[in-house]
Amino acid sequence: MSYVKPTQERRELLEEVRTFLAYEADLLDNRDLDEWLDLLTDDISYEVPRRITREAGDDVPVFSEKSFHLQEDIDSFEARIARYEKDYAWAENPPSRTRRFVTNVRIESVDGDEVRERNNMLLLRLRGEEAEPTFISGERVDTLRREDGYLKLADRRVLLDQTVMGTQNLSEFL
Amino acid sequence: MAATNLSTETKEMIEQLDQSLMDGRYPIRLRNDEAVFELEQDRVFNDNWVFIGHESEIPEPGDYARRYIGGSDPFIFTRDEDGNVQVLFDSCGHRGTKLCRAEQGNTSHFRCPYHGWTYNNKGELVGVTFKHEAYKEIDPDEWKLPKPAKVDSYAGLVFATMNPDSPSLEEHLGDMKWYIDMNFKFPTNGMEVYGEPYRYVLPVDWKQPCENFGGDDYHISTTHQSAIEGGLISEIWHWDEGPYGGLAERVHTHFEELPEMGHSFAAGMIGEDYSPFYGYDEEIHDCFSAENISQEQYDLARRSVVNIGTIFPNLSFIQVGKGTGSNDSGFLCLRQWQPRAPGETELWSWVLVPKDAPEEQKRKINNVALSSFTPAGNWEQDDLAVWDGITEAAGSTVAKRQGVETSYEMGLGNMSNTEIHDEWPGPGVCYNNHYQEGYGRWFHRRWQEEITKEPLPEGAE
Ligand code: FES
Ligand SMILES: [Fe+2]
Repeated sequence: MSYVKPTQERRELLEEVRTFLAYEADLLDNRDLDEWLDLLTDDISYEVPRRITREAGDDVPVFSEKSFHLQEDIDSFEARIARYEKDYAWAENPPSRTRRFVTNVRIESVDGDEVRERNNMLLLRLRGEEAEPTFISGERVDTLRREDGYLKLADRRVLLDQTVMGTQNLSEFL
Repeated sequence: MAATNLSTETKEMIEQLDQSLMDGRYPIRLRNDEAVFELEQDRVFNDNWVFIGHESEIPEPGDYARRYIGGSDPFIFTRDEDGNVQVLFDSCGHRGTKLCRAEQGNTSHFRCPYHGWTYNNKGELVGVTFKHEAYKEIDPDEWKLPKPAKVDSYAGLVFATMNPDSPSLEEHLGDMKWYIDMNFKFPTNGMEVYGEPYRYVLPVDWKQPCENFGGDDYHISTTHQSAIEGGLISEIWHWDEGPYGGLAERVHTHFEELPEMGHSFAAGMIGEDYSPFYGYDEEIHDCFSAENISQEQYDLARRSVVNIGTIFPNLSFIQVGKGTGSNDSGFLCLRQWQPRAPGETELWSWVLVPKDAPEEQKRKINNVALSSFTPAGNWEQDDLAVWDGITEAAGSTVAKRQGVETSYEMGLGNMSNTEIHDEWPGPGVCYNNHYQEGYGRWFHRRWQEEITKEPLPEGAE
């Protein structure tokens, strides 16, 4: 086995997926959360499972099937975003500065309107007078679905590298 | 390594703490001071009953989880082949390597990766590499893994103490058991942990969240204003019309005598005619009964919308109804505030569900819990943000030399309109509303009691 050489068609799709992910990261970094919501399908399924350090060979998965930092659908995202828009959402007031780096985008499969892709994400976060950022890194396993000609996020699982979170809270969408 | 010197200023603060607290004042320095942190490690955490885990986390023989006493002393929490809970110091008797290299798992033996010594899950040394050539006369009984002096459990909560002179766990919890029962035993078959604990590092002293969860209702309207305005709360909060944020009653209980001193409990309830049961869906109310608790406790659980409490030194719980729209429910979270460094804490946060609830209900309860009370939850996110700056101020020279104090005056004298609740059926000193800070004063009073059990080291200039 080796990597798959991209066809012309795949190259174009890859370029479009990258454009989507960069656009999405930009909205999140700028906290344009209402616009970000428009990038989600109505049946979005979104999970950030708790990662657990386990022995190699343990047949229990390292990503919890029960515990999630975030386990969201469209309604819960709307509720969270409505809260952030209030004046007194202290977690993001003053807002943290974030920078998302999205790389290593690889298309896994294409099935009708749906594209399955994986990418690496590094999020740097600075609050207040901090000179050193805290970071969150992981792999995102996404399903994008084409609706009215444009890609939307239908499914995302964020597979964190952290087991113990170094950020004092998690008020970012990953 | 020589212990960090206790400054004369800080030493005086500790010695006068009971007086300061009686006057409603607390020196902020005690929340970030290297010497205080070391004293806490010795005298609070190494010397008292501390929480290790819940029995349901290790249901099968061989199940294990890595745990810490005092935030960083490593232990293995495991169930041995006979089904008994064991707490073992996680360090090989040969050179000290850690034996348990995962957070959780299942094994009948722990094999040291360095030279291969092997221990069973009772902590007995059962294998020595090349024994007949290298360690012929070793006495394995001398090299068992060290254990706490006592390990015991209550309502599924496993605690350990390194101090052989500690009273029994029963005695340590004392009358606080009444409130633990009310929260953990109203489901006929108890509560169980769902999933694994979340772990987050927080830049705040462990004592701060301990007292917040011990009864700080005062912060809710400010800290959580956005969550309240956003309606991220269960509908049960609107069932009744009462003076306390829709609730008929809010009570605060703390203890002023040993052994319970330092534990505290607070509750919000609605009128007799309602049965919110913390917001759990009606379809699981048949999992609840007064079989293991008194009718009085059961009745209070039935009317409860929110209960919180802290068990000295560093275990808290919250059982409450929250949610969004149709996705609302009660849930129970356990949280342990583990000291990591002066002014730094690791939060361990478990979600528990009634054991007999159907899986689909458990999933729902868990989802509401994680949306509310984990550091990513709509409520807890803001708690963690409003504690910013406490560590910085406490660590300052001004806090040390000028002895800056913070106010704990609420409820003292005529300061607030709170009174002793004469008809409260539960133990402890109960106030009839939440406008008082006795939970905090007596938490710190107990802390002083522990820190000054032995003479304090001489202060340094
Ligand atoms: S350190 Fe464990 S066997 Fe040597
Ligand atoms: Fe809070």
